[in-house]
Amino acid sequence: MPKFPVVINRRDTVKNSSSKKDMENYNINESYLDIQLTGRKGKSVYKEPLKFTKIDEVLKKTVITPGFEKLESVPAYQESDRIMQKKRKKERERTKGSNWFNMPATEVTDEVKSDLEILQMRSVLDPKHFYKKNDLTVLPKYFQVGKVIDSPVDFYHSRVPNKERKRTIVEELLADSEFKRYNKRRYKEIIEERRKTHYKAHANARKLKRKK
Amino acid sequence: MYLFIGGFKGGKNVIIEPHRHEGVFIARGKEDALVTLNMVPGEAVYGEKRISVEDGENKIEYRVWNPFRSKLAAAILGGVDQIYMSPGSKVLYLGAASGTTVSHVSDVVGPEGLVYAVEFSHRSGRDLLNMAKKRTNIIPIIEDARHPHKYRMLVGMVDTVFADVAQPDQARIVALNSQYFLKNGGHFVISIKASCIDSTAQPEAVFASEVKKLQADKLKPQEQITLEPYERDHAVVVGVYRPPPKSKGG
Ligand SMILES: C[S@@+](CC[C@H](N)C(=O)[O-])C[C@H]1O[C@@H](n2cnc3c(N)ncnc32)[C@H](O)[C@@H]1O
Repeated sequence: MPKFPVVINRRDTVKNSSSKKDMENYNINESYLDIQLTGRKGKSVYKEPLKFTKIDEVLKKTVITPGFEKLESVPAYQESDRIMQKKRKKERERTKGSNWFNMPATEVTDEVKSDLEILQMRSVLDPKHFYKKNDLTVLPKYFQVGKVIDSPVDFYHSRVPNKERKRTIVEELLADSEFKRYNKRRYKEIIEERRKTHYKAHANARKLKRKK
Repeated sequence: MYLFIGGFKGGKNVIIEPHRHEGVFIARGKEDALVTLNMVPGEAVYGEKRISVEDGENKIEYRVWNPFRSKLAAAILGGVDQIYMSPGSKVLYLGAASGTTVSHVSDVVGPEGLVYAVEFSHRSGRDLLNMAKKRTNIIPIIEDARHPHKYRMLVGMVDTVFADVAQPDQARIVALNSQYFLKNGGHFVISIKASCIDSTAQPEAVFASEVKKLQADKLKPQEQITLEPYERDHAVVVGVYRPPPKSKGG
């Protein structure tokens, strides 16, 4: 039996169209697929699933997603102006803005925090130095931590030797012998003053101590 | 009071914060110093101290701005209200010398700003030209500021004119350059050294007469400060050029 497509066969089909034999050979599905698949140099045209409807598209935008029933409220279709504004504000606040070359809001670790605080109190720490009144009473939001670069000109007179370098301003202070001496002296003075001005309190304190 | 920079030894830690003036910063340590963001990291211009900041991968650097070597820095530390040189602005700088202050103005206006730097001495001009090679926002002009028509092709309209030429006819020089290059409503910042104008008169009288000359040329002064303790008998005058007429409603 000759296989389809053969001209003779076709004539046969026309003759007795109801012939079961012929129908078996003439596989409609196969020929249909064949035409489509070989349409363009044998490349498949079926790379993407056919979009029979646009429902898939529409569903992409739907708010009803898996887990929808667990949400507290129906999420808005578009973000509201207020939320957008908030987001933009948050983004803007990450830096000081282009007028200060986007200086960032640096993370305040404990170390950084104590450095910032020591800077605010520095007028108390150095008796010989006069400081302008601090204009900021809160810690700054935008700042960076920096280190003075060595310059060859200053090698001998304006440089902290490598061994004595510290990681923070607080550590620098604690290592400063003059600062330590001053601090000790000041502490003694304060205690001494107390003894004079709070005579009674002191006497009482001593009494209590003795009683123990 | 910000005095000086003994505390800025190599290796010391500091905190950098924005200054009230746009494009300017303060470094705080044992002392405070004015600093600008170095446009050319890795290089000092006149031996000034630099401060490095590590910000993830990008290395940022600030340069200490010495008020004893720059009248603009002295004016800022003296509390001048406005300098009108925010990032992105265009400045005509008369009397650039070797570019000490110009380099900081270049940092302040940043990559989107421009500084036209005029200096007539060829000797100072050499340093200025060298510096401008690395700082692309500086346009050096070696000419006499008394003849702006000679460089009119090089200079566009500017937002601010700064002058520190230390000459008796400075007011006229500023007026001439403003007519050519300063936009209406733009600003001027000039440093006046009393002894350069009249070494016999009282400094206050000299400042007052200079201000009068400026006014006659539509340069309207808004502010005047002296530069103590950084300079003696110096004043900086800041003002506006041909301000737009105030609307009657308000
Ligand atoms: C006081 S110095 C300027 C210092 C500079 N502003 C600084 O802070 O780095 C004055 C400068 O103005 C220059 N100068 C004086 N008369 C000038 C003129 N007519 N045209 C251009 N420059 C002039 C001088 O050569 C000198 O370098």
